[in-house]
This record gives sequence, C-alpha cells and structure tokens, in this order.
Amino acid sequence: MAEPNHASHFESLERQAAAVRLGTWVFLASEVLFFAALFTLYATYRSEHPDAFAAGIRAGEKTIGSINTVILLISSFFVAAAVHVRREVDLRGTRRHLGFAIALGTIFLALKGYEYSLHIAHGMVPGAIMIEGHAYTGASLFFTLYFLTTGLHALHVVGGLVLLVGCMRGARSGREEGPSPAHRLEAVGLYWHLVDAIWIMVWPLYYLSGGAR
Amino acid sequence: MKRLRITLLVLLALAAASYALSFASLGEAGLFVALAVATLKIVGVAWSFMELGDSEQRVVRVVAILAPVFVLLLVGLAAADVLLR
Repeated sequence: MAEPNHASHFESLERQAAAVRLGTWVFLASEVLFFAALFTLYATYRSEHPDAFAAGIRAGEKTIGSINTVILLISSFFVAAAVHVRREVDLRGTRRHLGFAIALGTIFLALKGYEYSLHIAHGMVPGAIMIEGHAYTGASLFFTLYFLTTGLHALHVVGGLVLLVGCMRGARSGREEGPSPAHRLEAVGLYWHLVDAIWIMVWPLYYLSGGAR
Repeated sequence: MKRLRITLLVLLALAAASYALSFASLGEAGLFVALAVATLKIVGVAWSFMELGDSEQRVVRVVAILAPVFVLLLVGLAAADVLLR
C-alpha cells in the first residue's frame, strides 16, 4: 500500500488533516442548527400543549426507543474504536469494528421501522388528534413533529451507514485511494457520533418525559 | 482503547439512570432532569469519542461549543416567549 500523500494545495498531511477536521466540525455545527429548528418547534408546541405532548409520549414505545439508544451508544463506541485502530494501520481491526457499527446501525433502523408500524397500527400518525381514545388539542402537532424529527434522524442514520460501508470497503488492503483514508474515516466517525448525539437528545424529548403513569 | 471502553460504560450507566428517572413522579421537572442527563451524555460522546478533549485546534473547540450555545439561545428564547405571554 502506498504512503498517503497530501493534496497539492496543502503544505503537509498534518495541515490537510487539520483542515478536514475543522471543515467536518463546521458541517456538524450546521447539522446541529438544522435540528435546532425542530427542537425549537418542540419547545414552543410543548409549552402550548403540555398535556397532549405528555400523553403522546406515554403512548409511545419507550422500550424500543431505549433499546435504540443503547444500540447507538455502542455503535458509536465501535466507530471510535475503528478510528483508533485505523491510525495504527490495523485494517482487519478497522473492518471488524466498522462491521459491528454497521450491524448495530442496521438494527436501529429495523427497530425504528417496527416502531413506526406499531404507531400506524394504533392510529398514531401525523395529523391524528386521538391519543389512547382521548382527543387532545395539540396531539396532531406532537405526532407530526415526532415523525418529522425521528424520520429526519433516521435519514441521517442511513447516510451514516452508507459512509461507514464506504470506509469499510476502503479499509481492504491495497484498495484505498486518496490522500489519507484514516482522515476520511475520522470525518465519517465524527458524523456518526453527531447522529448518536442527536438521538441522545431526541430520546428524552419523545420517549422519557411523559411523566409516570 | 481503555478510555473508550470507560466512556461507553459511563454512557450506558447514564442511559440507565435516564430510563429509571423516567418512572419517577417528577412532573414537568422530569423533562429538565432528563435533558440534563442527556447533556452529560453528549459531553461524554464529544469529549471522548469525538476526541474534542485531545484536539489541539482551539478553533474546533470554539465551533463545538458555539453550536449548542446557539441552540440553547434559539430554544430558550422561543420557549420563554410562549411561557411569558
């Protein structure tokens, strides 16, 4: 495998790595602000309709949401571990760790799909006004916002999985291209951790804060 | 790797605490307690998994801190507007 070279417009590989890191963080900040709009809507609507939001959360699938939280936390660990071993040029270890992370991300999406099917079966869809047989003003806002937020997050998980698969394929010995595959994996890893961090915030908002039954 | 494993264990413990607290009768305060624990988890992910603690680029830390500050401003001011009407 050839030694990685930096792009011609950088003085060194270190400078290029620093630029990649900063560029990735700026991109992540823009993603955070994207989700901030949804969190702002949540804060506004929940302030206006606290009962509907609490009832909607209590009617949700807390167990599935919690299992998905654990899944994403562990997948984040495997991605961080992959970045760590990739720097030591342990390509086999990199593939193994990325494989676990990809499997966990896929399970997350499968569980999310199952959860959506349960919601649809119970009539908990965007625009619905009934929660467990009771009509609530603001229920439609809750369900619309819930599906919008978790759906957009799921799309980010899909995007992250595609990038992780690309990194795993690239980690095959002799198949890597570009100036520094390790830096590419680091950037993709940062994105995956952000997806995890957003879910960490979504979990209490849509699964845990409905109050005790 | 040891630090990553310890971070994972701490994150899982915090997740378990969040789950357990969701069954407590805390009223509306429950939301803020849950968000406080979530913030701790995010700090753990950013500091250890995202290597913010190791970053020698000060500007990266500035970007990482500014983004959630703007989120807090946006969410906080919007919620305050509704609550104080």
